[in-house]
Amino acid sequence: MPVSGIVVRCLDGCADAVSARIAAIDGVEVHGVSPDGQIVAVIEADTVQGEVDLVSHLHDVEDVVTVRLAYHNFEDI
Amino acid sequence: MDSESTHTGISRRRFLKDGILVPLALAVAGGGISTLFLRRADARGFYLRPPGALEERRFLAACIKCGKCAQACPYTAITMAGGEAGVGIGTPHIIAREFPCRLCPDIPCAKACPSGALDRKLEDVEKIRMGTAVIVDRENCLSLRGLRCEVCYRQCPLIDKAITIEPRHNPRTGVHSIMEPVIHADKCVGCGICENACVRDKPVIVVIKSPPVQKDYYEF
Amino acid sequence: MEVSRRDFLKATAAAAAFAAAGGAVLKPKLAEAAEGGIKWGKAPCRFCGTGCGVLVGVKDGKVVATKGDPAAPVNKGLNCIKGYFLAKILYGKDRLTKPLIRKGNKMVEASWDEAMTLIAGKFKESIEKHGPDSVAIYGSGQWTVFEGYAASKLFKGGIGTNNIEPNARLCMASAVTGFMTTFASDEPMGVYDDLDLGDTYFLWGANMAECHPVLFSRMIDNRLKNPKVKIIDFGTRRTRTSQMADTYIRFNPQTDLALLNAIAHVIVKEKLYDEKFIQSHVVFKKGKTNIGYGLEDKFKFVDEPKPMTFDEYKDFLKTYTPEYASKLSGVPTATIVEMARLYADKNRKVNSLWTMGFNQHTRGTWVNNLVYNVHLLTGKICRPGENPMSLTGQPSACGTAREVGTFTHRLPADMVVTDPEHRAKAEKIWGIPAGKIPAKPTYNATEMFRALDRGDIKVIWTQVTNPFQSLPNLNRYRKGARKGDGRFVIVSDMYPTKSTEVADVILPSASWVEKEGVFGNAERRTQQWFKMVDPPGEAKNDLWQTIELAKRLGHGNLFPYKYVEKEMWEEYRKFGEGQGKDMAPYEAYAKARGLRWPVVNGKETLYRYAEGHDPYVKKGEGIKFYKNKKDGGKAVIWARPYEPAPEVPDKSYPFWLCTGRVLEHWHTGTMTGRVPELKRAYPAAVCEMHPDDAKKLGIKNLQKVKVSSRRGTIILPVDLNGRGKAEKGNIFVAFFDENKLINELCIDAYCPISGEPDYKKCAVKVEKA
Repeated sequence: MPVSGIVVRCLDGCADAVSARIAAIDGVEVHGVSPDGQIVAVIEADTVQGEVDLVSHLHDVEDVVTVRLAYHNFEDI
Repeated sequence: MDSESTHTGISRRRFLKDGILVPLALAVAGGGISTLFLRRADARGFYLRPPGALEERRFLAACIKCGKCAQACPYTAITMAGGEAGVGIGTPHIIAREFPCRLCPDIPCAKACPSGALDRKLEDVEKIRMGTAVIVDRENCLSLRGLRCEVCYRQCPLIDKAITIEPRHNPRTGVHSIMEPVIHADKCVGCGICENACVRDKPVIVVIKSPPVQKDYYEF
Repeated sequence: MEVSRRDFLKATAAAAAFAAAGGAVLKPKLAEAAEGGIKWGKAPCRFCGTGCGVLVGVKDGKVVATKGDPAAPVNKGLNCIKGYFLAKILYGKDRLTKPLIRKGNKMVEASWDEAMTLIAGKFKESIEKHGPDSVAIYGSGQWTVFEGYAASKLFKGGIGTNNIEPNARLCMASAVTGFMTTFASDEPMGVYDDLDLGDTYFLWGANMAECHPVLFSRMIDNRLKNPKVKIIDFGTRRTRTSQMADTYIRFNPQTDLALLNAIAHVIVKEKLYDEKFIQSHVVFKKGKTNIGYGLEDKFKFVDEPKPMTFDEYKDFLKTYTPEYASKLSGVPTATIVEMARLYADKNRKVNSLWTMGFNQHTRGTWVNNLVYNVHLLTGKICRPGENPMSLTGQPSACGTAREVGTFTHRLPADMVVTDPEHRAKAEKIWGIPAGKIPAKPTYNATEMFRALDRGDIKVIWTQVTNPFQSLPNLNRYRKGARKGDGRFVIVSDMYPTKSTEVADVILPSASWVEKEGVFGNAERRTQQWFKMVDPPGEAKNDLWQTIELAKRLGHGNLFPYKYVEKEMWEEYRKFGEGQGKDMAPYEAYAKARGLRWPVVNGKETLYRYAEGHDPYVKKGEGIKFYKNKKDGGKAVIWARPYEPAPEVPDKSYPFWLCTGRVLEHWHTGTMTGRVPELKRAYPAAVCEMHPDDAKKLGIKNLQKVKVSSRRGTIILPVDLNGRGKAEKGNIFVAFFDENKLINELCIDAYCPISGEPDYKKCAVKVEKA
C-alpha cells in the first residue's frame, strides 16, 4: 500500500479553506500548514494507480495551484 | 591499543622538542581547544603528578624538569606541562583521560627521578597516592541510573579494594538492582584508569587532589 | 507507545513533506510520536540472548538515540553498557556500502548485479561439477528468523543440501541436545520470572554479571529483598559473578561431570529425592561411553540409548562418592554434600543457570543431562521459581538457530531431517516435491570448515557471523579458506572483519533496525521490530541477498511473497502449530513486547509442561513432558559418566586455557570495537593469570607474555589482578580482540553428540615475551 508525503500550494490566503477541502477527501490526512501557506499532507491508497488518481484529483480541488510529492513509499503493509 | 614501546628510539633531544617545545608553542599560539579540553585538571588547580611525587609545593621546588620520568614511562602517560602550567612549566604530569598511570609494578618513573621529586624508594604500587577518584556527576553516571555499566569498577587495577560495588534496589523497575560503584579513598591510588575508561563524553568519575586526612575523635 | 509500520511510514512521509515545504512545522498531527523531531520505535537489543527491549530514536533517516524500553518486561527500561551504545554500532566509519570482488590481491568495488551473477555462477558450477553438498551456508544466532528461514528453505528445500549451519553450533548446540535427549523438545520450561521468584541459584560456568548483565541485576535484586536467597557460583575462574555470589566453588576443569553425579549420589544415598515425582515423570537411560572428541576429520557418532531402572541408576552413581568427586574436582567433600542437600532442601526453590561453561564442553550434552538429573530427582522443575534454565549467548540463538532449525540435521519446530515424516511435513509446507530434502545431515560447523579446508566444500557463504575469528584451531581454517583450487568464500557483513579478509566476495549488509526482523530470546520470547532506517550506501538485507541468490539459481518460486516478512512468518508458523511450539500471528508481535511460546489462543506460556500454565497439559496431569512421546510423556534421567578432557595440561603445556567474553564487547568485537567509548573502556585482550603462577615464571603484572598451545601462539600483556581472577594452573583470555586471535590456540575438539567445540579447555604454556 503506497504512502506518500505531499506539499500542496494554493492561492494566497486560501490555505485554511483548501486544507478543509482536501482533508475531507478519503485517503488524505492534512498534517499542517507552513507560514507561507503550503499545506503538508500524507496520502494513502490501495494501489499506486489509486494514488496517482488521488493526486490528480487533488489538482482539481478549488484554489489548488500545485501538488508536489516529497516522499513516496510503496510496500505491502 | 598496542603500546609497544613507542618511546624507544626517540633521542633525548627529540624528546625535549616534542615534550616541551610543542606544548609551549601551542600555549603561545593561544592554547587551542585540545589543550583546554585535555587540561581540565587546571580548573581544579590540581595536576596529577607521577607516582611517588612530593607534596605539590615541595615537588615544584624539587623537580628539575629533566623529563627522565616521562622517558621511563612505557605508556607515554607522563608528559611535560606546557606554558599554561605557569610556574610548573616543564614539570611532569599525567592527563588521565588521555593516558592514565598503569601502575607498573616496578614504578620505573619514580626510579628514574634524579632529584628526589619522586620517591625512588617507592616499591608497592598500592602505596602510591597521586590523588583520589570521585564520582563528580552522579546524575550522569550510568551505573547510578541502574544501567549495567560499572566500567570504572571492572577496570580499576585495585578492583574490590579501591572501588567496590554496593547493590541496592532499583525502585524504578522494581525487579532490578542498581550496582553502585563506591570508591574507598583509603585504598584509591589516583591512577586515573577509571577516569580514562568512563564511557561518558565528560567522565563522571575523575581523580581529584586527595582530601587531607582529618583527625578523628570518634571510633567504633 | 505503539507505533505500527504504517504509522511509522506516515510520520516519515509527513516529516519529508514538512522538510520539502521549507522545514516550517506547524501542528503536526503525529507530534506525540515525534518528540523533538525524533521518532521512536521498539526493537530488541542487537546483542545477547537476554533480549532486552529498546526504544530506537530516528531522526533524518538516522538512528540518533536508543533507550531502554520501560514497557519491556525483561529489562523495564534498563540496558547494559553495550545496549546503551546501540545507536553507534550502525555508524562506524568503515561500514561496508558496496559489494567487493576479489581481483588478485585486491578487493574491487562491483555492482550488486555483478556480484550476484558471480556468486550464482560459482554455486551453479560447483553444484554441477561436485553436487549440491559442495556448496554451503554458514549463518548465525544473530540471523533474524526470516534470514535463517530463507537460508534453510533455499539450501534444504531448493538446492537440496543439508549444508547449513549457524554459529550457534559453537555456542548453544549442547544445550539443544541436552534438552532433546532429556525432554525431546528444545528450550527451557522456565522463564526469567524465576529470577524474581526463586531463592536458591546454582550457577554453573556462567559469568552472568558480565554476560547477562541485566538478568544478573534482577537476581541480585531478589537477594536484596529476600534474605533467604543464596547464590552459589560453580566455576573454574573467579569472576565478577563469583565476587557477588554468596558462595564460590572452584573446581578443576571438566570435573563438573563428576560433581553433578556426586550431588545426585548424595541425594540418592540420603533419600532426598522425590519418589512420587520420579515414579510419575521420569525414566532412566544410559548411552555409549568413551565416545571420543571429534578431533579427526569426518568424525561420526551415534548414541545408543538403553533403558535402565532406578536401581541400576543408583548402582551407576555408586562410583561418584563425594570423596571421589572431591579428589577429581578439588572441591571439599563436605561442600559437595552441603550443595546436594541445598539442591534437595524441600523449603527451597532451586534454580540452576548455566551458559558456555556447560555448552562449550567436549561432554556438553552429558553435563546438560546431569544438571537436569538433579532437578528431576528432586522434582524441582516446571514450577514458578524452580527451574533449570539454560541462558543463551546470542539474540536469536533460540528464535532462529533452534526454532527455525538452521542446523544441518534440523528442520523447524524440533523436527529433524532424518525423520521421513518430518521431511514430508516440511516439503508440504514449502510446496516442494517429496524427497527433495536430503535425509542425511552433513557437517556440523567445525566439520563444515574442515570440509572447506579439504576441498569437499567449494563454495561457502557466511552471513551475520565471523567464523574466521571465532572458530577453534583457527589457523587451519583461515588457511583452508584461501587454498584456492575452486574454493570460493562469500562473506556478508556490515564491517570489514577477520572473515572478510579471506573472502572472494564481500557483500555489504543491512543491520538491526535497517531491516525488519524477529529475534527469539532465552526465555522463549519472540520479539519483532520494523525497519526504521535505510542501510548506508548499497548495503542490503541478508534476507534480500539470500532470495536474490535463490532467484538466480532458479529457486525464486520458493519465495513468492509480497510482504516478505509477514507472509514468511505465517508460513513458518505452520510448523509449530499444534506441536507445542505455537507462534502467534505476525500482527500480535508488532504490538507486543514479545510473547513467550507456545502462544495458544493469543495467550503466552510461562511454564512449559505444567498444568495451568501450558495449554498442552490436560487437567489433572500436573506435570507432563508431553513432547517425549516415545517415553510416555516422561523425562529422562541419564547415567552419564565422568570422562577426561581430550587435552590436559602436561609438562610442556602446563596451563589450562579458558576463553570467554567481557561486558563491554560483543563476541568478535566487530560492532562494539567500533564504538569509541567501549573501545576506550576495554581496548585490548589481556591474559588473566594467578599471581603465584606468574611469580614462579618471573612475570610481573602488565608484562607481555607469549601464550602458546600446540596450535598457535599469541603475545599479550598479563593481568594478575583484573576483573577475572584465574585460578592456579589456569589462564583466561577474552576472544573479542581481532589483534589477539586467541582461538588460534583453542583445540577443535567437540562434544560428539552436540558437535559443539570446547573453548574452555586446552593446554597451553606461558613464557615471558
